[in-house]
Amino acid sequence: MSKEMAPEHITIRTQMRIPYAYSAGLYVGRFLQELRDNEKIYANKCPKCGRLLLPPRIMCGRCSVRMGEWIEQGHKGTLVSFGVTIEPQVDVTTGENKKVPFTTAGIQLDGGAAILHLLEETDASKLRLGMRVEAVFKPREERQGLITDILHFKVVEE
Amino acid sequence: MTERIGIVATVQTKYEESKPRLHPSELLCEVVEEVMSETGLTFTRDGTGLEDSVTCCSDHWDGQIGSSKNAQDVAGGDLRESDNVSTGGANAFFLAVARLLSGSCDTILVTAHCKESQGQVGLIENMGFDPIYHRMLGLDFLSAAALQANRYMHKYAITSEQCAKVVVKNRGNAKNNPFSQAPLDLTVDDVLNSPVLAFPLKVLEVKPVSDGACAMILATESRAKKLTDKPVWVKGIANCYDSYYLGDRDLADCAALTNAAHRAYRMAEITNPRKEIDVVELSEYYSYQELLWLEGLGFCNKGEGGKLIDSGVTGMDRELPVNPSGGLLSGVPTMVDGLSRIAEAALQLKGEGGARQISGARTALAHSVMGVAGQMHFATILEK
Amino acid sequence: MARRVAIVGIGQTPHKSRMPELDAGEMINVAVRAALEDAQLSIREIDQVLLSNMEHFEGNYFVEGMFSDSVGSYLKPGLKTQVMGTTGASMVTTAWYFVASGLFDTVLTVTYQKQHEGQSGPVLQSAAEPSYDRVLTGHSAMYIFASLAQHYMAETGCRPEHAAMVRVKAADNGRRNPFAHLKLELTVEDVLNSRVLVWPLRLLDICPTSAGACALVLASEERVRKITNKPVWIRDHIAVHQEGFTLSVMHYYPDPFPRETTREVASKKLYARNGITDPAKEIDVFEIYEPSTYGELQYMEDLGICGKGEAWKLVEKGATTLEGEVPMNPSGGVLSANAIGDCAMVRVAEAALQVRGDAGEHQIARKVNTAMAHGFGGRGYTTLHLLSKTL
Repeated sequence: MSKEMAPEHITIRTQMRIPYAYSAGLYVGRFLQELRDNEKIYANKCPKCGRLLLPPRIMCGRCSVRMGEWIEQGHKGTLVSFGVTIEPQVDVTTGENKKVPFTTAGIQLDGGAAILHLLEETDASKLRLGMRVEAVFKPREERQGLITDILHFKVVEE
Repeated sequence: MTERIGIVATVQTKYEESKPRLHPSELLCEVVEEVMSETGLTFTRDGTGLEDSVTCCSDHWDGQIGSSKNAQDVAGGDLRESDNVSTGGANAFFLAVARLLSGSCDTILVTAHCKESQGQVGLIENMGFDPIYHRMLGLDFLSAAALQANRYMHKYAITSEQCAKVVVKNRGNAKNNPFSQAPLDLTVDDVLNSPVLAFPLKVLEVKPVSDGACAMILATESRAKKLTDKPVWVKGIANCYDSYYLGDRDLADCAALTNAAHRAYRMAEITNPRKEIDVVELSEYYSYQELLWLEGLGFCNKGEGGKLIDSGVTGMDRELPVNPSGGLLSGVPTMVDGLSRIAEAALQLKGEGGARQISGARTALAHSVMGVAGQMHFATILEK
Repeated sequence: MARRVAIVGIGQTPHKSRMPELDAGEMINVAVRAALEDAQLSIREIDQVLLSNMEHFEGNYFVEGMFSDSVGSYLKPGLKTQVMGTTGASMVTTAWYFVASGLFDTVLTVTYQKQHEGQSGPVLQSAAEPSYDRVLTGHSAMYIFASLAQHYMAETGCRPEHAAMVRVKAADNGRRNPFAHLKLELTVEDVLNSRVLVWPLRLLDICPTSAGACALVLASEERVRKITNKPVWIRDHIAVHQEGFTLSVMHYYPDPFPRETTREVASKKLYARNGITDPAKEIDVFEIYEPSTYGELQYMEDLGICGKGEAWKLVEKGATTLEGEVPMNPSGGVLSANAIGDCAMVRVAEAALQVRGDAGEHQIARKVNTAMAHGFGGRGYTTLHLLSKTL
């Protein structure tokens, strides 16, 4: 490479905005409808291994059979894991930074399935595994048929 | 090849412009269940049934990274080996053939699915151009194809009527194919009068947006014979890449296709394709491509694709039927395209072509293409 | 009967946080030339060229075509497999299938990533199911590793200092590896004082994002003899995938429906069919894919390298260093270089260098006959490659 080709590092900056229209499908579609219209959280059950999966889906990946019964989960559950994110990150759906801190949690619902969602509480010192939590839904007019129709789970005394 | 590889069973969905009711995994689930039940195979983990798969889908078209899970979950990928190929369904087939020949398994499932309707074709294809140079020009595969069409037609005096004849033939053939998305009765004038999308390509000369899926089971010879009484043997298989930059190649030629075709013919011991191939299923995203690819496949000399279609020889009841299924122009999604060509060719050799059956078909060629203006070509020769 | 296959050429670029002086194609070409030179082959002698990465990190599509000139696939066959983090390893396996099948004799397989050209965070987040939890801001790759960390400590009595020791070892090894990205001088205190990302995971508990490429040349047994007298035989390999409709609770800890991890399933099968009953003794060195410090500990146990709850104790004793009884990640591991597309291939490359005795300053102290490389993919996928000096 000759000296005359002074290597200036040219950087091409672009922003990509690619719209998608994702089909929720027969299973997640119905799950979201139930959230939006009836404030009901559903899982479906594998007729072979008995697992309750949330969100419901067409096939049990482990057994390779069609999932069966839809089972209501209720709104309450037990906290089985949580993590408070402090470091800001970019949200893939908006391109903007997510608001921090936020608490991701694994919740074992009383109906038997586990759900990943957010907790209202963002102070880790106030949280303990095993705490009882309850889903807080957005008001009907704000619900859109998204998992965020559940605003978050809040800790409840029991 | 060290031993024979057989196609045991194939299933395709009906292709549609969009399938908004179904999640991609649900779409694929149906064809996998059908091909499993057709062969009586189940997913096992103890060596007695089906334990291997190669899936094909695209993070871009499924709109997320790790899109392979859409396929793996319904294709028995859990606690088994289920690799994912994103270079199109025909290449998933290629890897599956290699897996069988390597002795790692004796039966394998191949799947491909895509819902083009969920994304924006032009924007996704624009990402197929390098971000430093080509992409800034706002190219997509359509505009690149238009470049190729112009060059090809200019160099060899291919006429727009000849290109239009491809559309008339294929959209008409689609009427015989229960899986086809959009059969149409067209005249050459209908095609020529349809709105121009990117000169000289008119809307009827461009593959429509499509959703669909395909699943196939392959096996080594002894296993294939147990699973079906109509195995279709893979006699030759190859693929090849051309250079990437559009300016580096003469778009009127398809050196990569000729290279792949020669390798496949040599493996299959075919010396005169025109005589020895009974039916061709090729991947024509645009009208002119059928003519150009037929040249690359050696069915006529360079520049004579137009004469070939004029002769009528590629019609349904003639000596070299091309795309009796209706081809891609009748609506098949990318990713699925190559695998569906192989499925259609296999159906012909199994005698299950129904209204589109080419009688007496013994040897078929299935072709696939991917990338800008046909950068990667794949060809396989199948025999009864 | 499969033909036997060996690695005959190994090439890498140094991994860096940014590589603005090369475009992706040029970067790929550096690794390709290094592998060809190592094998003393020209591209003309290569029958098939495979190229892969995780395309969204740079916002590209069909990279196997885009970089055909740089990787050397012009007028050659090739394809791409893409299975999240295990991509690098699946590309080794794919090459293996094509050579073992007899379809090709000599295959070049290449993986790369140039993460600084895109935005890694949101791309990783897109692994969540778009119709369901993509909109949930709660997802973060960090949280998966944070939940692993909490779970591991709760189950085994491990303390954050032990995870910090893993990081210090990675830094010590990274400094001796010319291809590693991070070559830090670290103490346990440095790690424990680094800022919290998702408790208990700190900045230094997690891997960086890097740019780099890796290339391997694989050849059939007959070809091998003409190419090199230092082949690294791929004795065996296995890939175990897992359902993953969405990045849901089952990928975090604890799994609500617990069963053996894919690591346990894969390693047990691999060891059983190779007559290995004590992997820590019978395998001389391990390159495992550890996106976090706690991950290295958990994976060591899942892979049967030590018993449950024992990994942190081995680290405490210094057993996992270059001079130790169970050398882990002499290259510095993913903690020292994380170009997602090539990470899993780098594990194989580094394991192969150890078998050849060519790892220079980061060569382990004891003689290496057998090495194992492990790959990890986001939905809990596992790949394993068992390499050896002799057949």
